[in-house]
Order: sequence, then structure tokens, then C-alpha cells
Amino acid sequence: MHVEFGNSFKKFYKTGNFWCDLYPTTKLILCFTVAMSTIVMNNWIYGFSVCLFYFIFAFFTGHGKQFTKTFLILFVIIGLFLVVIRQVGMRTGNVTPMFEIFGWIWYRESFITSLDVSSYMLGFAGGILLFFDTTPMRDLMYAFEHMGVSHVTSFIMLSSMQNIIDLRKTSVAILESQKSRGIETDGNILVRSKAFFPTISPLILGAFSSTEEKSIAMDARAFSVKRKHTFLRELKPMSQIEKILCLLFSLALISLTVWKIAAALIK
Amino acid sequence: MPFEYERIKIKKRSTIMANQKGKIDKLSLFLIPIGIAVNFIGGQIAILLKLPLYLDAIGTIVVAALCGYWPGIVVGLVSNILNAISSPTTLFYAPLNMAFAVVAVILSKRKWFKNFFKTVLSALFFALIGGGIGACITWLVYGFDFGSGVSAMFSIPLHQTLGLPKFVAQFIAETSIDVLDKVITVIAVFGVLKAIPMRFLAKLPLGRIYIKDAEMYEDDED
Repeated sequence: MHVEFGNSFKKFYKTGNFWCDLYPTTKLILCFTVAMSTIVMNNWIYGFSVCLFYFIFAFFTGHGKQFTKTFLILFVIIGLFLVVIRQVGMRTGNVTPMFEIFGWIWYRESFITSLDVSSYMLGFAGGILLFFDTTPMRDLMYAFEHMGVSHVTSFIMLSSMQNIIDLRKTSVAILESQKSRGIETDGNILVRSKAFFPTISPLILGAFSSTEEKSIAMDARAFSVKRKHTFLRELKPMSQIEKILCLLFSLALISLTVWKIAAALIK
Repeated sequence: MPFEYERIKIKKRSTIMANQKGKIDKLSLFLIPIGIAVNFIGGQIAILLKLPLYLDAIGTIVVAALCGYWPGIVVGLVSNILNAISSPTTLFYAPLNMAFAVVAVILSKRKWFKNFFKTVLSALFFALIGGGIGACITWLVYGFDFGSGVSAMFSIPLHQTLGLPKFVAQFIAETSIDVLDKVITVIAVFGVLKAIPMRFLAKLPLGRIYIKDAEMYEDDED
């Protein structure tokens, strides 16, 4: 059993899902090109079609729930809010009334403009969300390190994520302690603002004081040694098909951009 | 003599740090993840206390004020990248946080954060950057019109009642919101910089600025 466990690290790490097992850089290029294409196209039919595709794809990768939860929040903040704001804020160019709500006339022109803007904002956001939902940060940093990025970058990214979790717990503990010693956390904005300082200051100072020990501990684990690093978890390198796919998507985005610029210049 | 020993240590450390131009020293490197985490937690404490503010630049300003340009810029950039995991549109606003770091270093070198009134005044610079660059980014990203943030609730009435151009209304709204946010941010920064122990400050590239009577030691050595 121990041998089996040991041997598991000799194989490439796999999840069993086609998309999740792609090399992180492949996923990044594919998601980024699709996300950018919605900005270049600036068309609500294309943008929302891509968003629908993200949903179906997220469920196919087994991350549907997680994706839907975050995407719906963005949909309300960016999508719905923007549609209302354009109806209120856009005054020129409105000629075609659509409908009326309690005397408030909605115009077709500002409605289409808001759909265009929110579709590319959501199209861009959805692509990035899908990527981060299906790619752990450590896998992304593994790929970057293989591309020649310093291990220090990996340390900064991964350590930051861990620090956020740790400091969040500490901040709740500090806030509770301050409350128990009588600090006001309810009341007007000034009272609540005053409670901010006794919470954030000990948090930062406590975190700072631990850096020296951390620095020594990291050096004891050969953090500063300049030589090739090894990894406990290896990922399958980028295949030829993946490279071709990345090239095709990148070329498609470049062509789309050139076409859009040329079309705008001819106009 | 402990006093003499401390003087020599400060001088030595600051010389070592000054020699490492363009390179991030080890201690600054370990402060970067903490700065990033503080940016996040600052915002979350604001939510816990139901404050209608961002308070998400404390880490950037503290690290920049103590460690210099590169560590501050990295904190600003990575904070926005990590924020993009849950809210990808924050990626567009990464230049803002990086600009805060640059301004924080300039003000720190001019010893603004040593004086409370100058510190509070510095909030205006940060608010102007937040409002100015923020309004430009919103303008570009949202198709040369109002954005969908809280600022839109203030900029639209400004545009409609006072007849201000849309960009000017957006700029005024974003700057006004940022002023209160940045005043609280810089006061927190001032408190933290005051409370950091001298032995820790002595090891940081710009820490010398915040050491009491550090100028006196230098004058003595000259």
C-alpha cells in the first residue's frame, strides 16, 4: 500500500475530466481569447451566446454550481444594473420608445447599448471566472515556473492566498475581542469607522512580526538556493494538439481584431 | 553600549538596503503576501462593520511606504489579480493600486507619513488618483459612459441636475467617494507605521525614515 502511495507521485496528476486535465497555459489561452473576443465583437447576441456557452461548459467540467453562484452575482451587478443606468443616464440618441413603467419610458437605443456593454463585460468576466474555477492556482504557477518564471512569483501568489485565509480568521478573533472589551461596532458611520482602527492595526502588526521567523524558516528550507526546483505533483506537458488549438484560437482573435479595426476605418 | 550598537546597526542596514537598487530584499519579499492579504481583509472588515467604503489599499500603501516601489507595485498588482478570481472586472483597475504604491513611496521619502496632518492631507492625492484614473478606466471599460458601480448613483444626478459633462460628473463622484475612504486608509497607515518596532524598521529599505531620531544618527556620522 505504501509503495502504491509512493508510486502515485511518479505519474502525472489527473482529474479524469477532459478540460480540467488540459495544461493550465492551454486553458488560460483558450479562456482569455474567448473572453477577449466578446470585447472585440461588442455585440450582445455574440456576448450572451458566449455566456450561455460558459454555463454549459462549466456544468460539463463539474464546476457548474460554483460558476453559477459567482456569475449570477456579476450578472446582477454588471448586467441588470447597467441596463437601468443606461436608461437613466443616456439622454441623446433615444428615438424609439419600447415600453413604459409608471410613466418612465424605456428606449430601444439605450437598451441595445446597455446590452452590448454588459454582454462584453460579462463575456470577459465569465471567461476569467471559468479559468480560475477549473484551474487551481498552484497548477497555474507550476506552468509558469516551467516557462521560466521565478519560484518567488509562485511563493508570492500561493502565500498570499494562504495569508488571506489566516488573516481572515485572525481579524474575526480580534474584532470579537475588541467587542468584548466594549468597543462600539454598531451605530452611525463615525462610530463604526472608529472600530476599524483597533481591528486592523493589531492584525497588521501581528502579521509583520511573524515575517522575520518566516524568513529564517524559508531559508532553512533552501528558499534562496539558485538551482532547478522539483515538484511533488507533476502535470502532463502540453500536447501537440493543445499547442495547435492555442495557435488557432490566438490567430482567430487576431484576425477578428484586424477585421473589426478595418471595418471601423472603412466606415 | 546598547545605544551605540543600535546606531551602528541602523547605519549598516540602511547602507545595505540602499545598495540593493532594483532588487527586492528578503524581508520585503515576505511582507508582500501580508500586504496583499491586508488589502483583502481591510475590505472585509469594512463589510463586517457595514462601512460603505473599500479600504482595500492599506496593504499597498504600508508596504510601499516601508519597502519601496517594486514591493508596493507587486502588492497592488497581485491584489487585483487575486480579486479577479471572484470579480474579474477588477483586473481593469490594477493600474490604480499600482499608482497608489508609487505615490506612497514618493510621500514616504518626503516623510509625509511621519506627520499626522500631512498624512491626512495625503488622502487627497490618493483620492485624486483613485477618482481620476478610476474615472478614466470606467470611462474606457464601460463604452465611454457611466459605470455600474456606486459612483453612478452620484454621477448621474450630477450630470442631469447640474448639466455637467458625463466624464466630469463621473470624476467628481468617484473622487468624492474616494476622499473618505482614503482618509480612513491613511490614518490606519499612520497608526501602523508609528507602532512598528524600531528593530524591525531598521531592516526595511525605507524603514529608516520612521525611526525616531534617525536623522540625528546620520548627522553624527557625517
